[in-house]
Amino acid sequence: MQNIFSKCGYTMVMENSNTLNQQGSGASNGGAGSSGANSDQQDIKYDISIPEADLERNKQYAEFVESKMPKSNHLRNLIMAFVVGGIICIIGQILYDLYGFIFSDQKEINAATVITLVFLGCFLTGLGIYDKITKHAGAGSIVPITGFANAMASPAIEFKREGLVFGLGAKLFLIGGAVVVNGVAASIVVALVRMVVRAIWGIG
Amino acid sequence: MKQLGKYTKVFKSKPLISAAFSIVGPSEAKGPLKAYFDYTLKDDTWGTKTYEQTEQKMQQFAIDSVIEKAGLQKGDIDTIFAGDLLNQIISSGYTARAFDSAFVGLYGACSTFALALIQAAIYLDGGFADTVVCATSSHYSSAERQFRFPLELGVQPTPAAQNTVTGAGAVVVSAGGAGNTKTKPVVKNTQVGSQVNNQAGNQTNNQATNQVAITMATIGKVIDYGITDVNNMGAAMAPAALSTLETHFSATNTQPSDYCAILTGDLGEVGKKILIELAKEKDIDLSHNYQDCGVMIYNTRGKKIVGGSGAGCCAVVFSSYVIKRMLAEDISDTKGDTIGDTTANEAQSKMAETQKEQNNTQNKKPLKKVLFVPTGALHSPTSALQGASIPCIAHAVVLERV
Repeated sequence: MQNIFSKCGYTMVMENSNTLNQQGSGASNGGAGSSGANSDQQDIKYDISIPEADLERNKQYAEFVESKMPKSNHLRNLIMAFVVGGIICIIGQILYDLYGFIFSDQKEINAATVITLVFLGCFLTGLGIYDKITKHAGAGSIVPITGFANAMASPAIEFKREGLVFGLGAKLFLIGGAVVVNGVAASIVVALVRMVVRAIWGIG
Repeated sequence: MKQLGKYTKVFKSKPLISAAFSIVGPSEAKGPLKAYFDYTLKDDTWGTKTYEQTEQKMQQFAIDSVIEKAGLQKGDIDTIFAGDLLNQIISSGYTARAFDSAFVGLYGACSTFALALIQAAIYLDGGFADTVVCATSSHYSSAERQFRFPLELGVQPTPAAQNTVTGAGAVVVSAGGAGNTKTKPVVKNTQVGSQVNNQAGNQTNNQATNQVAITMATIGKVIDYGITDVNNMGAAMAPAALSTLETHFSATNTQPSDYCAILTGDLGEVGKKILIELAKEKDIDLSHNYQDCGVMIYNTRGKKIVGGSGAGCCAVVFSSYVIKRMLAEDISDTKGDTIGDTTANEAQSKMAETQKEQNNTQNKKPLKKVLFVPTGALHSPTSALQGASIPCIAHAVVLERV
């Protein structure tokens, strides 16, 4: 045994672990290959982790790759995100002002504005335009609510072909799920912080 | 022994590539190699309901067409070697059900095409088959969904991200030498559909004596330099390409200058640069006749794109550009001429490109000996999410005009 494993260049340590051994040999629960083995079989510690020499080489290579990577144009990305995000907000503001003529209640105006923006996000996603905007605008079109609409509509389009129940139904929140779960988790943390701050200093 | 060292196989019977066929999607058809492709799609669904079906349709069409191009019947094919990127290589599996041949499904990620060529050569050299087909395919939209995000989701591409090529390539490989009676030499121009490029039709006179043979191959070993960024495949795969090149050169006692061209599969601009530098450290000079299929297939200069990738990438470049250049087919559009006698030096090739645009009738030497080294990243979306690094592989195939 020792010879076979040492050929692979990995370390192998024999251990006299009786507890593990008993679990393995007495197993009728389909345990990994050890059922039916001799009761005196020793537990093998078989290590598949990367050898240390390789880790050092990998580190050097990562540094080398980093020096060869094309750089993102951060200034251009920032400006694009600012401009596009700003335009989306201006559209939202225009809608908000216009809905002010129709509705009198603040809540109704808010809801109508959001609904319209989500609709526009989904509509542009369906037309295949929204992802092209985001290619250039980055967070400028991901952060506004239209970006969330895009994150919901795009899996809907993609997975419709896999059926309505286990395709669309199951995978609709493929991206949105991450946003919702992490958003809720983050809001709990923020609320806790606010609660503590208010309790101690009485502000917030 | 048909083996040199541990990894390199020598095919003394010289299996011949009897025909090659390539089919690409609309965006590849806009690239520099457009004149070389046999068939281009006008839209990327090609009348099917899903992109997976489109990919399968492309592969099946490529195999069907290449059999016809070789002057054969479907029944003449003993074995089909095929692979693709989708889970359980479905494109190939569904394709193979349409043929009355043994099917060997292969997975080597983007290197699958080389793997198929090597398996084919081994079968033919060993006398286990007479005429076989190798094919691989990939589709931007099906790969995007499997490996990344839904298509319409807005994502800002990272600078080193590559584009999966929509396309399929297929070749017929037949036993070389006297045993080969079924097949005729390559390159009859078929008129499949109306979209077949007319430019590809201009044939030269002496091509009946020219054939492309697979003479040697080096099967690579898996190399992992710890890169975990799936948007930086070029950097992950470059060490694998280097390892295979190094093994191949030392086993065959050759050097880069012994080949008219050395072509990697889909390293992209980033991986290409890294490979050239890594090779320099090992005293392998790749600065003159080396090019990357992923860089060749798209107009990468000045665009936010570093190159193509996918199992179809090297397959379509091989079965269009490489084969046609090796057989010295006269392609009037010379913009795709990025390898061979011209130097790979960035500045010079830029100049050469502008010159070529002015002078489309420039003469080209046919490629006599090509070292084809597609690379593949053997990770999965699951392993990537679990933070595992990307194991990579490269296979080298030596093609010679005989």
